[in-house]
Amino acid sequence: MKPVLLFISLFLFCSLQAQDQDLEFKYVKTDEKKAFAGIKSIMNSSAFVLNNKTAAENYQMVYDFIAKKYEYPEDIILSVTPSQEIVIQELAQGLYETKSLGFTNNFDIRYNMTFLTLDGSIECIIGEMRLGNTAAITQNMEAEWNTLDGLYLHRKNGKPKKTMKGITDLKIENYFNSILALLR
Amino acid sequence: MRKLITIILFLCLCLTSTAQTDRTFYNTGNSNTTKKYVGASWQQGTIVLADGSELNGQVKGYSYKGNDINSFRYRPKKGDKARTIKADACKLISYDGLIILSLPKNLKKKEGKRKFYVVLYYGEHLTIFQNPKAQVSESGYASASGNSAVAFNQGQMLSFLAFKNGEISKLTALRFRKQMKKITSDNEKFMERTSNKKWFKYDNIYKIAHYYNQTKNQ
Repeated sequence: MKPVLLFISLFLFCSLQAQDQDLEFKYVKTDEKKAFAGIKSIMNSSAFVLNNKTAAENYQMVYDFIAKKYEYPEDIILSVTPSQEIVIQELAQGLYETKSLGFTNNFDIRYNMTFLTLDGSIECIIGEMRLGNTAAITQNMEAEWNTLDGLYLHRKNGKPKKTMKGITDLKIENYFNSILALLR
Repeated sequence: MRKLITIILFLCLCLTSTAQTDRTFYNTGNSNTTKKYVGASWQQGTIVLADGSELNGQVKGYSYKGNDINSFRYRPKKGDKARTIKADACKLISYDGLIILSLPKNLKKKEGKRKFYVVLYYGEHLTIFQNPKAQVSESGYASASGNSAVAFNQGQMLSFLAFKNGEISKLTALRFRKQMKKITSDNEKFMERTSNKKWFKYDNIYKIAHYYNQTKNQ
C-alpha cells in the first residue's frame, strides 16, 4: 500500500510541475465568441529557447541581446534578478496590422516580456500586451492604450476575417518568434 | 505511514513555494507629462492593501474632490458586490495604466491622514507623481479676436513631485535640470548622461527617473 501511495504522490508532483514547453508563439482559436467582434484567438504567453548553457550564461546572452538593440538597455529594463530574470517593457511600432479595402492600418503594441533564465533554457513570457489606439488620439496627441488579450480573427460563423487572418496574427507571431530565434 | 505523510507535506511545500512570486509594480514611465485623471469606469486592476495583501479584480474611481480622487470601488468580477477602498486602507492601486499611491495628506508629516496621489512613474529609489497643486498649461494664447488659436503643450503639468529616501522634492518645468541634478547627484552613471540635453529635459521626466533607478546600484 505504501509504495502505491508514494508513487501516486510522486506522479501528482511531477504532473503538476510539468509545463507545456512551447517552442514558438502561435495564435490558437478559442471557443469564446463576442457579438460583432467574432471568435477570439489567443497566443500562448510563454515559449522556451532550449540550449546547453547555464543560467548565468543564458542571463548574459539575454542582456547582450537587449544591449545590442538599445544604446541604454536600462531604458527598457523594468527589473532584473541576476542570473535568473530580466523583465523589459518594449514598444513595437506598427506591429498590429490590418488590411481593409486595399488600405493597410498599423497600430503600435506595447508589451512586457520576462526572460526567465534557467540551466538549459530561457523562458520568454509575454505580459500586459497593450494596443495603442491612435484613432482615439486626444487633443494632447496622446494615444490610448487598451489591453490586447486576444485577436478576433474569425467571424461568429467561423469564417476567417480577410482583414486580419494571416496578416495581424502572422505579423505578431513572427515578431515574437524572431526574438526567440535571436536567442537560439 | 508517518514517513509518507511527511513526504507528501514536503512535496506540497515545494509546490506552494514555487508558486509564490515577488511582484513589483515598477514601470518604465512610458508616458507623457499631461495631467492624468482617474476614470470612473470599471477596469482590471490591483489593489495592494495596507497589510501587503493584494486584491485582483475590477477597480474604478468612486468619489472625487475636484479632479482629485478620494476613494475607489473594488469588485472581484462583474456582478459581485463592490466595496469602497479609501487611502488609509491601502498602499497602492494599479489601474488603467496608472499607479496610485497612498501617501500622507500633509507630505511633510509622515503620520496622520492619507490621500491618493497619481503616480506616472513608480520606481525603487525615485518615484515621480503628480503635484495636486500644480498648474496645467492651457491652450495657446488669446488672440486679438478672442480665440485661443495655438495649442502648445496643452494639458501639460508644469510641476511634479519627486519622492526619494522618504523626502519630497518639487520639480518644475522652468528649473527642471538644476532641481533634478540636485536630487540625483549620488548616481555617477546617471550624471554622465545628463550632459545629453536632448534626453535630459522636462518632457522626458519619467524616462529620466527610470534610468536613475536602473543605474542607481551600478
